[in-house]
Amino acid sequence: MKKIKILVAFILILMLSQSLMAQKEPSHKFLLSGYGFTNLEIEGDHPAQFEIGFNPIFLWSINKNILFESELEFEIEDNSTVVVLEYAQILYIANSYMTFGAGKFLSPNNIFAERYHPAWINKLPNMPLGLSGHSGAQLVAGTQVGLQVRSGIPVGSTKIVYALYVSNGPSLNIDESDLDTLGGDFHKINNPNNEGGEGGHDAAATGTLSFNNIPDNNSNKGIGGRIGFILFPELEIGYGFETARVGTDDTEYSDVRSFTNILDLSYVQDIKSLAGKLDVRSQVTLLNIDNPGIALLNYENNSTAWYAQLAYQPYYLESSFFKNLEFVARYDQINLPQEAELNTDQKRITVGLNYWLNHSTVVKFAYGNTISEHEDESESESTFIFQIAMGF
Amino acid sequence: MKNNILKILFVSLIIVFISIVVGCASNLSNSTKPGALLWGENCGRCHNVRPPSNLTDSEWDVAVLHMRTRANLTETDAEKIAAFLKAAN
Ligand code: HEC
Repeated sequence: MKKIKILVAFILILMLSQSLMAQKEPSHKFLLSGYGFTNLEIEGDHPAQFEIGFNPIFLWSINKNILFESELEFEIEDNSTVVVLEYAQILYIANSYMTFGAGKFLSPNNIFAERYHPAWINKLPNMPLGLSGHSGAQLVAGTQVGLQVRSGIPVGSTKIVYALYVSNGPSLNIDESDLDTLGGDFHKINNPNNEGGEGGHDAAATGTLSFNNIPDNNSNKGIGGRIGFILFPELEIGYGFETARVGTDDTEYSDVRSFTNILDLSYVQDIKSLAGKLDVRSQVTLLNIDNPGIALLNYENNSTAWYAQLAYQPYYLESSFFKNLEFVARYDQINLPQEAELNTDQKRITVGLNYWLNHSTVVKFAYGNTISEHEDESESESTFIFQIAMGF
Repeated sequence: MKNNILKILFVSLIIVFISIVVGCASNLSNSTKPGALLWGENCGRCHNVRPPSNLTDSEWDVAVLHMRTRANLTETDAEKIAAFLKAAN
């Protein structure tokens, strides 16, 4: 009898402690977030293309100082699903003025990549020229693999934000098939990260950079960062940079360095007299790659890309239809060295009309006109894009 | 190239100086702002503001920590914003 009482008491205590435990906050907190989108793109006389993307984001925090963030990108290419580890980073918040990050992270010197590229945040269905690998030449990295330190320092009502990183850095592409035509003793010349096809025929163009730098092609690390000034809560201007030796070790090009300068501006303002919200985003990217004065790279290898975008949403209007509309206009252009293999300059103007179904679900229609200039020839092409994007 | 860096450094210094002057001249510094105001000022800069009802308390803790690192917020600002979101969801 006594034994039974003890057993009952034991079970009761166990149940009680279980229910108390359940009420306590779990020590690990988790959030599944991310976004998905579908595009329909009609470009010039090319056949219309559907495109989809699904980017889940996994976030864990073990306490208020340690966070793990990771994003996977699922895409369908050539009938098979491709998964990319977009980022995976452990963040340690040492104090208000210093947060350390290690892993693969969105490049902090490129605010389009770090803040604006997700489909539910980007106000147009495509990305500005030069800032992504999705369309033509890419001048600046979207992600880095390495370490970063970042945060902000309030100065009265303004704030200075900073980020500094050390990473594998970009790597210089040299297309081996170009070297065949020259002959000579060029061994192991290629960048191991040049995602070329068999024989290097589809390899990325000579003189451009690859940003997918694992394994690192050289012993040198890239250093970069950004300093931003939030002059008032609505306006931030920033300067980003990166310096890196990009040539592959043990090649003729091993000493070649690149230097990137980026200027950015973001301005978001409620304008009650216009019954809405104005959103201005702009970024100028300048990339200089050394001229080593040897075959294939004997020219000034300087490229520029910039964009300016203006969006307006009349969200203080009474009408629930009109307040969810957003009008967007963007101008962007890219200029590449004329002597380079990839040398088509482009200028583009894009206008868009968005309808917001809620704060992070949007239907976008955009029309773009691109003028491409290649060796004195100029060509104009129109593009229509329709996109549905949802952030969750 | 060196010259460019010097120019940029010079412009940065001027901007730091302007920030300090503007910052000190303005009467409401961040430390006295309530959570709702900080939420309005900080959480609509990169994307549309996510309404408090979007997430549960424990999810907001993670999301605000995430955004604290992305948007370079101070601990006090992040805590006030999280408290506001958790009270209003
Ligand atoms: C510096 C730009 C920026 C600011 C400021 C910002 N966000 Fe975000 N936010 C983002 C980006 C970018 C994402 C998408 C996450 C990604 O793609 O890595 C995001 C995602 C989110 C998400 C989805 C969940 C997640 O964490 O990914 C929530 C919720 C959110 N933000 C809330 C907030 C709140 C609350 C604030 C104010 C404290 C805020 N954001 C300020 C850039 C910003």
